[in-house]
Amino acid sequence: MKLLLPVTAVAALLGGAALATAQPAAPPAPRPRASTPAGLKLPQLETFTLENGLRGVFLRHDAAPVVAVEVWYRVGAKDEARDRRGSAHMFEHIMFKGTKRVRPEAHARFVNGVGGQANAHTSEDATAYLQVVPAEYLDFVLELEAERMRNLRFDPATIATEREVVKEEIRQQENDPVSKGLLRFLEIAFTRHPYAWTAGGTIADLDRTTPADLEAFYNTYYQPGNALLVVVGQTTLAEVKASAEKHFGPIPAAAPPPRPADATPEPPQTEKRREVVEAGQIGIVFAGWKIPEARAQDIYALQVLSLVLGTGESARLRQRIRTIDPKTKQPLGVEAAAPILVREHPGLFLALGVYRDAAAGAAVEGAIFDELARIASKPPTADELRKAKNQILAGFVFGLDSPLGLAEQIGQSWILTGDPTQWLRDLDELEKVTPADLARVTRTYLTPERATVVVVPPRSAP
Amino acid sequence: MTRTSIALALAALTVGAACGPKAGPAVIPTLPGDGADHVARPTDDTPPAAPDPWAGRADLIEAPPVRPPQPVTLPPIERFTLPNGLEVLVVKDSRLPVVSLQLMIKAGRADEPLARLGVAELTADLLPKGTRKRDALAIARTIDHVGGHIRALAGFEATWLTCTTMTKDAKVCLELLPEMVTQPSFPEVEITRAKEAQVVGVMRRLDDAPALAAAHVQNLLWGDDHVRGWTTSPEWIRRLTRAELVTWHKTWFVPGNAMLAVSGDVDVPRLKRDLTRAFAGWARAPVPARPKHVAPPIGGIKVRLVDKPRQTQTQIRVAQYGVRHDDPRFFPTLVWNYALGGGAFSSRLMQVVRSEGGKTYGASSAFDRNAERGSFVVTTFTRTAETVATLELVLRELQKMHAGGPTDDEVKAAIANLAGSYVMRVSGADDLAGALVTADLHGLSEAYVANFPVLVGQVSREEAAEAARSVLTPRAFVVVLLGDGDRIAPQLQQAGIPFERVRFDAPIGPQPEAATPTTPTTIDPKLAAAGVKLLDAALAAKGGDKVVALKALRMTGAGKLSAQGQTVDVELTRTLLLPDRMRMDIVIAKQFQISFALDGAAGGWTRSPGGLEDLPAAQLPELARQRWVDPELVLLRPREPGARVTALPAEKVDGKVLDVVQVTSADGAHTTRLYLDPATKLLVAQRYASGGGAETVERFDDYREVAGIRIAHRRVSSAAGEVSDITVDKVEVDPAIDRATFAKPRS
Repeated sequence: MKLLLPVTAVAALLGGAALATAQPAAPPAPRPRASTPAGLKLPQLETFTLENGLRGVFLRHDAAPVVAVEVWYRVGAKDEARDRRGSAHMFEHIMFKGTKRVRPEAHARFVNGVGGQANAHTSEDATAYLQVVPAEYLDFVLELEAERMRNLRFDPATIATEREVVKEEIRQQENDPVSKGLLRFLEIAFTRHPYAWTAGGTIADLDRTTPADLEAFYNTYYQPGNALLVVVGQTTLAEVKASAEKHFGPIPAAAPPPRPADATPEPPQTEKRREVVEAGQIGIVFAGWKIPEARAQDIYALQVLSLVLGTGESARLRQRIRTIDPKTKQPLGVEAAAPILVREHPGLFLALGVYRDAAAGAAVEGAIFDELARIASKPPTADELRKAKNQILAGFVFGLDSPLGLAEQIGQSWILTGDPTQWLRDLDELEKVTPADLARVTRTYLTPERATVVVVPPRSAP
Repeated sequence: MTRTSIALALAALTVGAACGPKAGPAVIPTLPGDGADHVARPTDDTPPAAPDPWAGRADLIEAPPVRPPQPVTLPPIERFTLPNGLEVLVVKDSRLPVVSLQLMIKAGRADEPLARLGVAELTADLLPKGTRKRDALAIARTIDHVGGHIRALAGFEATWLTCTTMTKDAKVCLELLPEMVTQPSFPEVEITRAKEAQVVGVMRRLDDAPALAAAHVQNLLWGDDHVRGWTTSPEWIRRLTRAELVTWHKTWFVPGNAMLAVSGDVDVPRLKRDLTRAFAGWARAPVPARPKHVAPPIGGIKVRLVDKPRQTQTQIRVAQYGVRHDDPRFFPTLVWNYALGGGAFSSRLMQVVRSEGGKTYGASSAFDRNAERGSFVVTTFTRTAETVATLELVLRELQKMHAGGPTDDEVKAAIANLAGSYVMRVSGADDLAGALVTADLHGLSEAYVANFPVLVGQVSREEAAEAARSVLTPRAFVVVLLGDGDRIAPQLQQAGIPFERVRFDAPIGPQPEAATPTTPTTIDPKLAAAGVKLLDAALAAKGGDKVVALKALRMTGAGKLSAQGQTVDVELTRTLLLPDRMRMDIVIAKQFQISFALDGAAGGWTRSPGGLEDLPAAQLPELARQRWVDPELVLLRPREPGARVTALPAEKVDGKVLDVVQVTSADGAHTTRLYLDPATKLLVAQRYASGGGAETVERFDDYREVAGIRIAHRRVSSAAGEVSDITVDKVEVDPAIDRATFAKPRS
């Protein structure tokens, strides 16, 4: 079970296991993008909707005799009450702890027992439950998923135990200065919107969240009209539809859930926010800017900008940060990245620099802003743009090999845009992005006065 | 007897033994799990179990029937060998327009000598950072421009280079990867960058409790004399030189020591031509033998508390030795480990520690799947107050699995998952190619990959239980607890668990200064003078002019030699005729006689039950080193022209403060660190790096005067997990010795 925190790129920068609580299964690309290459056959998605509002997507995939089954719920940390942070994530745990017809732990045990894998993840916008099983167990897995969509048990003793488990997950963050620095960054960047916290929640809020609170949350959001069923693998649309109808069909429709975050939009930022937080063993500068929501057209240009700055060894910011200083004969810093956190609501564009010597902190921070200023005043070359688009295309093609990866793409696309097939059409939009667009979005969104900076300084050089 | 053992025996008589600025971890006699005294048991006041809400329900969803394990149907796999000897296998898969190359070099961290710890990883890091044709930026731009990936990674057993692109750009991989392998340029500026990145990674580990605990548990389990116990540090990283990277590459990166797997959308005949052309410049070369490492006995139970103040959580690791990949118990061990902690939510550890106890977010167990035996490690963490209670739960589960093995149901579940999920693990063409190459690395066949599910399915409950009983060693394991020491220590004390305590930022395992004393390029004149003064006093205490005038020496002694878990009797006679003749006669276990000699410029020879032969040239430098560090003569080394001496800070060894002086030969080839007793002025220990990089520690005791020279009559030497303990029973100073003693016998 994983929390999808917006720190994947940081974890990768620092060596994979760097952030114990922040290791999402999916690569950091927050929004799938691809261009349509000549001769590349795009996946053919088939969709359907049950009468109770449950949407389904099927994609045939023959790499192995397996199916990936995911159920996505449009509920995440941003849907939580401010004094009940961590509620969405609690379900990632208790959804495995027993229903009317399934004993505690049996769901995962059943899936493992047929040679499959089961997991779940929670982000600011969504909670997803995933399985990969041999294809003949498709119907069985759909029965299990339908069962826990509406028949979850809220046993106080079980919830108390699971609450302690989740607290241990939170404590992993408490013991890591970089995780703490990033959480503080979000608090500073978002003054009103619930993107100020992550799905991890807080120990204090968990302690005050009762089984009744959780049951009310469940009854609000775990409904067929708020979910997407995704099946990718070696089966047929007819079988998927038949099983979905059989197991999910009897569940009654429910009222659309409330969207509390709609009422607390983040106000425009007009001046730079900056804070230096508790030191870590190494230094890291987090710089970030609010960007539009996933559906906005400018997201395409920002996505390409993220690649130009931070993806691949030759990316601008990575090269800049690792340039050798003629005086010290050492590089300015050791690593850099520019991940874009595309969200259902306005998200963030991040730029990070990792360094060792305390004296280099200001220069690393300066280099980040300087690189953006360069792009704002002079668009990147056509060659850089081509490289970024090729990277997206190749990443798209590489991703076509994994049923689970494809199911994730489809689910994310639905959460971010409301359309599970949108990610395939993004390709054409991306191809339209021009160098001038990159300069324009930099000038529009990534300006010094809109920036939030958090610095985790290094303790000392060894 | 291994070559190392012989060298060690030689060192021992020549000498003796060790000192120990670093005392080994205390051996802990008892711990929960070792007997039943401290084992946590369910309390008697547990409230009665709540009624089972699922009892009697007729509509429960039950587990579906499971199909029996089936072999994996492998696609056609083509194998061929290039003219230079490089073996190639191809997994063709045209479903996607993607091509992957995976080149495995059979050399990794396991092959690093201690003196060059980190050389495999730094070499790998540098491969994409410059070739004779392109600099790092050009390589990056080339691969980035097609959206591909190119990586080089040094693992424990092998170094992997991988390159993936879309089919239309396959030529990029076919150019770049061979170039990286055959023509790396190791630019100094990129070495600086790569070192900096590695140093940051090591520092970052101090904030990364799971990674830090993992490094400690390997060191505690395998010790300072085994490659698995070594952990890199900023000091190790900084001392690596470009020349060492070049040598590492030249030694190991040869076609006969590699295997290439190509997977994806390829045309095989064309691929053969392309590969032959691309690797044409990679010439055949001898394949070096890989070093063998001997696992030290665990010797009971050891607990290390790694103190990181203000942590709210304790990382817990319990480790012991695992099994080799080709061990007959491998598949049974897969099965019982799945039941214990390898099966995620289906495992006992998750059930007991997480689901019932609520003490952790995760608990698991895993063992290394290596050609040689690796580690078996249980991993979990908990809030500080629950540290020892959680440890007790883990140990109780280990003991239960050892005693009873898995149940029938657990065996069925394990087989169903391990066998059933295997097809998913090798469904991608590159995954399958990687599995085939790894099988080759471990001496296993293609059939092994295809039959893996069937082989798992053949494990019986009895076999799994027997494997659990023989593999798990509840009286020999190590524990690492990483967290707030001031809050964990009282819990351990209250439970009666002995432990050693170290700071979280203390170096892990041997460090460069200890293993191979560094040679300062410039020596502070004051420190040099202080060092000379200490050594003059030591020489005077030993016999002064008598030592200087020494012409010949013959010593006999006897003792024990321990290696590879065995101890044998040894008898030794060592004969020296200065300046350049030496002979050693060794009798092992009162049966086998081995002799060595160095006969000045005439070279050296050895005679063993296997026959008489010249000493290989490769061994001469090591014998020269042994002569240089000879304890009867080493105090004379500072008087040799160009020798460098520097006093180092005094060190506390076994509760006694000793003066420390470092001596380096004029050519820089030999360096040793001498430990002197301030009271007697005598040399009581020295440590230096031998040829393979292993640290040798010699300790000298029981000094007695013979013909005016004080000679240590007890000598204990340790290196690379082998220990010799020799008592000298006869010493002759300046005896009449015939030079023919050193001449190579005619037969």
